[in-house]
Amino acid sequence: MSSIKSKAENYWRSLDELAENSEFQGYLHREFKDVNVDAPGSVSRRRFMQLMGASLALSSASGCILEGPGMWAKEKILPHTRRPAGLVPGQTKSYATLFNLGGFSQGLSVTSYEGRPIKIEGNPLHPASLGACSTYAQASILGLYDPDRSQQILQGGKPSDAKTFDKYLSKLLGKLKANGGQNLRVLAEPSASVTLAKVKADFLSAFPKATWTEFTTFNRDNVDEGAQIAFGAGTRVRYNVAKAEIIVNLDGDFLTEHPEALRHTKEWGDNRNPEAGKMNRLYAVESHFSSSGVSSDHRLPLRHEQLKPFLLALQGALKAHGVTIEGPEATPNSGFLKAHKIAAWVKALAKDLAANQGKSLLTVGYRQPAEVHALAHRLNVALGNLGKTLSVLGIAAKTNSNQYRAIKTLASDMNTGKVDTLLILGANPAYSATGDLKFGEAMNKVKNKIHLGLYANETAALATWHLPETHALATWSDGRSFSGTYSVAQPLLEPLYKSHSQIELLLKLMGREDSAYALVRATALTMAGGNPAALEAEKADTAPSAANTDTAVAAAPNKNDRTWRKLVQDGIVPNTDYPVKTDATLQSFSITPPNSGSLNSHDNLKNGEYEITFIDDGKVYDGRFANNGSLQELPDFTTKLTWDNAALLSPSTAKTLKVNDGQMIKLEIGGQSVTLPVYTLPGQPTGSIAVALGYGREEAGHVGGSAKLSVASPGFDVSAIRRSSSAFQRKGVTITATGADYELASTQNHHAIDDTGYQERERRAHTLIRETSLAEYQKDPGYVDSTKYEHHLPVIDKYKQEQLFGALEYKADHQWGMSIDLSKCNGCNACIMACNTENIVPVAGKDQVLKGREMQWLRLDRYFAGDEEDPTILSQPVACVHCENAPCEQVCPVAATLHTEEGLNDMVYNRCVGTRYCLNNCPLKVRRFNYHNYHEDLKTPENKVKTMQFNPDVTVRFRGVMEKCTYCIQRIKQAKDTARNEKRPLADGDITPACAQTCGSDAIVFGDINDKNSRVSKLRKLARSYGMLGGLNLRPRTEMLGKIRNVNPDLAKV
Amino acid sequence: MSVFQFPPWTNKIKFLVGLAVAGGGFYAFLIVNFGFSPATTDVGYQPTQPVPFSHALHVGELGVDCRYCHTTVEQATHSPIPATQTCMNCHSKIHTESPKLAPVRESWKTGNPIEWVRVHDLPDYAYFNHAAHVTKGVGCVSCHGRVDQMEVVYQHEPLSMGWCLDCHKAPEQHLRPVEHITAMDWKPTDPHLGTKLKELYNVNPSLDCSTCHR
Repeated sequence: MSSIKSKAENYWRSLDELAENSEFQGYLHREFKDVNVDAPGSVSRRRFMQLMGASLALSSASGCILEGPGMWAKEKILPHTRRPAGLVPGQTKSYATLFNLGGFSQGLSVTSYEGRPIKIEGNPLHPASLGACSTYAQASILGLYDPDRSQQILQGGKPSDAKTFDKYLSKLLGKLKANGGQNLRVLAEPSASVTLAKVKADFLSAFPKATWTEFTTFNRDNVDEGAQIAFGAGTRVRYNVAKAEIIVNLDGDFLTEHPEALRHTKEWGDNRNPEAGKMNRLYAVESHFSSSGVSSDHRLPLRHEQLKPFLLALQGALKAHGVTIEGPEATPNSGFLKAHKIAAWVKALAKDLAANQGKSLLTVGYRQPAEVHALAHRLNVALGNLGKTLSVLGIAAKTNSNQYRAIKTLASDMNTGKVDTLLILGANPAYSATGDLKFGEAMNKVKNKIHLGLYANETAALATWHLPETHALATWSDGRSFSGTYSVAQPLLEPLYKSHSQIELLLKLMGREDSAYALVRATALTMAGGNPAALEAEKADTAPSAANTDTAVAAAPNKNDRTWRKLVQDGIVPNTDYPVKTDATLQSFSITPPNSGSLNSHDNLKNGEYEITFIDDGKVYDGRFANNGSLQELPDFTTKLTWDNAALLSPSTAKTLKVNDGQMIKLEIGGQSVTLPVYTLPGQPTGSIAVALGYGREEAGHVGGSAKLSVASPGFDVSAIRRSSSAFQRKGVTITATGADYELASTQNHHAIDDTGYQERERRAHTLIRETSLAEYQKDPGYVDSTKYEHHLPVIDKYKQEQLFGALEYKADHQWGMSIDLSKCNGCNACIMACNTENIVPVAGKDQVLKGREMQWLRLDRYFAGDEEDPTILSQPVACVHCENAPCEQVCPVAATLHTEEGLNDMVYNRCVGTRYCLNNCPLKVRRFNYHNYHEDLKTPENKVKTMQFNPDVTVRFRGVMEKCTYCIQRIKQAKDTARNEKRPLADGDITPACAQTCGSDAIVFGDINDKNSRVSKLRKLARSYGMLGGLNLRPRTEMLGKIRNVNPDLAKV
Repeated sequence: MSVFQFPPWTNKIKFLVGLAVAGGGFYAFLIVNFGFSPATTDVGYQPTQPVPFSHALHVGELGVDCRYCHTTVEQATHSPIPATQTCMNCHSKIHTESPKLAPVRESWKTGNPIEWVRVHDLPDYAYFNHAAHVTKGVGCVSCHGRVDQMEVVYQHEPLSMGWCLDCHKAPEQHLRPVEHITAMDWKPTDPHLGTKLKELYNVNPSLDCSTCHR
């Protein structure tokens, strides 16, 4: 109890709050920061109109045309001429397909409504997704219907047509065929597709003198090279997190950034049940707050460059514990260890690891150099983890060189006139190449430049020809996951515009007539163990897209077709994983000594010695999702920033530099500089600045910025100070304040629940969040008991609450409830994106976020605790908790929000008159008001395409209407309908709201609390289950499970 | 300090103002009750369809079951308008030259759908589920009227929220054995059958808002 008390006094939501800043006071006293709550007509409002995200309009309700029934317009019904077998009009269907990013695939299950995909979920059968889904993959559905996508062929930036292009192409190809592809270069992104790899091989044999270069910003070359140093060529290291009791996450993020992150998250989450008596313990040592850092039991902020000496020190300490390690390297001098908390960490970590040999795991992030990976592998092997918590897979040995080196070579070849023809497939090097290459200028020296891409972006602007690329959801393709599992990507709809996929364009260049479908089918059948020769002879299956039922599989005319239909239906081909190399042994290698600068304690760092790291903030990736408003508006899970990137500084660095949040600074290094705003992030290592890539796009579109359309771009491009030789970190940055200010839209102080006074904050933080250590929890399981934290009203009968306007009774058979396990939430934001796409949540725009008017129904509250330089973070998902005793209902003058017999807090949009009383009275601030018609943009015909994503089972909300989480009422109804059709009672697990469905660690569980055996009932019965603001007698249907950290006693006091 | 007093001439218009207020109230009452009433605006709505399809002929005389065309009514929320293929099942052999069927043949040939006009049009924020009603013993005739006697389909019931709630509050008046669901002329023989069926089919219609609005 004493530890809780002392911690309780330390919770704070932001530095402003800690500093009792007047800005936070503003949030406390008013619901919205801006007093002038509605000031339309400004320039920024027009900007906001441009920024409307993916959401729909009011169909064709153009006034009172009394030619139709009642008050609305006449509607037409257009039935099929021939209805496809198995199609039930008005019902959704799911199809298995793939999402490929960075050369790895993730299995998807895409919901389609009458031929238009509307929602992306994870394929439960796919090992890299297990039913969960990453934020990027989910958001890609909005990209499919982005009206800014490239729709026509451009010649020198001007609209052209296929005929003119074909004429140009035949001339060019004639020349290329004659000289064997002399001076022809292809620049593509690394791909997971096996068929594309085959087509690529064919292409290179058709043009033997051509060169193929692969490049993507966040590539995993460091990781691959690390494995190569440690285990030899053709190896890949796979983690088995389920067996790891001690996990050390080193400057990376195995829970979100890794290609197998979803599986890691699941396995990590499965071992976070304190009731089992044992939990895994996660350490994070990192240069930027990652989701693994948020989830960790202990975290050490460390500069990027310091990881090598840290690991060498750890190696030395492990040797001292009697662990046999081959490494000849010396432990860094004691000066390094003395600094900060490093010595204590090394000691405690070595002790814990040595005691858990064969049950521990060290993981390193892709931004760290190959050597550090090799070193971590060496420690893993020495600790006996090989074959237990990690395995070595045998993959094809890497033939191409490091991607950053390769693109550098390409750029210099272009500059020296060695390239006549450049074919760019999907990549956007004019934006994403590092600043030293000046790729755009190099492009000007190439005669023929053909760019295939989803957008007419920066590269397209410089290309001779730009061709629209087919969206991944509209074309046949395939891919292998990180572990090798092969899957087919089937199209969900016909391409919306005349376009080529990468495979189709390469085939066209080779003058081949075969279809991508036939090629993918042949590859898939070969992977499934079929005989490719026999395939040649037989006619291809003509009805593959009907193959999502077992009957369709059985009905296929022959064995190959049955195999094909089955693998398309399931979305995986079993037994296609890369083989585990059981004979893998550690190679002998030595590590170069760390440079002296890295040994410097942060106290000694001067301006000019700072390092800068370049990160992926989980929103726009390398810039390719910059035009996705829903992603741009997603608050970063640590900074809570939307619509921007910023230079993330530790509070002490900011103090040294005398800069504050929102002040512009100039980062200067090697004669190059960039200017961007400061954002102070507690937990950032002192002297290390992190900046997210992918912002400041020049030609992204109406959302991501475009010089052509004169739309300012969100965030700042920092390519200028990046170097291909050290792509993710640079040392020696000089920072100067420019004196300018910039407004950053951070949601961190929005919806501050604390409404009665600032002085109460410590005590009241514990009405919302409760956290303790595993040992404390075992001593005092009832630590979350509300009565310990707040004055508590007497609890009256269950399901019978005295209300202001009469008692409510919950009589129905089903009583819905939810349980959110704070011990399992890693803050990955996937639940918010799931909710956004399922419930047509509009994008409000940066100026609206600045006013506190973001529309997401679900938010992740982030609490810091402890030391400002080295805090812990607690991340708490909060949506409407469906209070049985709901304060919102009692103040609605028109009864637009009221309870159902099943315990749902209904919001009736068509009754709502927009008084916002409910919002004012909601103690958890989970209601969202439509201040504007966020779908106004859909009136223009070019934006109509966005409506194709809209879930037909959810009402589109108009200006002046309140909205909030409904527990996905449409899914509850659908599950009930299915059960009724199948003449069976509802079973536990039949209903999963979008957020719970996509949660990788199963932190969110939904179900019937009347059913004693349901998962949610069992979870809610746990001693650490509590309702937020218990003292108000709200009786929330969503309960939280208190956060338990598995604290290492040796580090508890550090 | 002077106190405001109404000038004497206002006495003359007192009566007129009183009349305007009372009359205005009455006028508003009439407008709301009758002018906006679904009965005024909807019932009897009978748009012209592109094909003069006669339910009276097909259902009434020939005895085709509703579910022959409206196939998924028992499984899905929608009760779909049949595909052109359904029409052509018979009309590729019967009345193959009829000019009335020209749009059907045209659709069959070109693959373009026939553009039917929606008769029963609920607001977009109301989510009606056919299967939920049909499988619980609410007959087609209860909402659609005697379709078997309609040459051209028209809206028979107001389809207003109040009308929905009347039945949700007292469903027993509209229940029938599910095997007679499509029978247009079925009449209960036992006056207590509705109550019995309510028990048997476990019909407890919800009055919660989210039953129909989400």
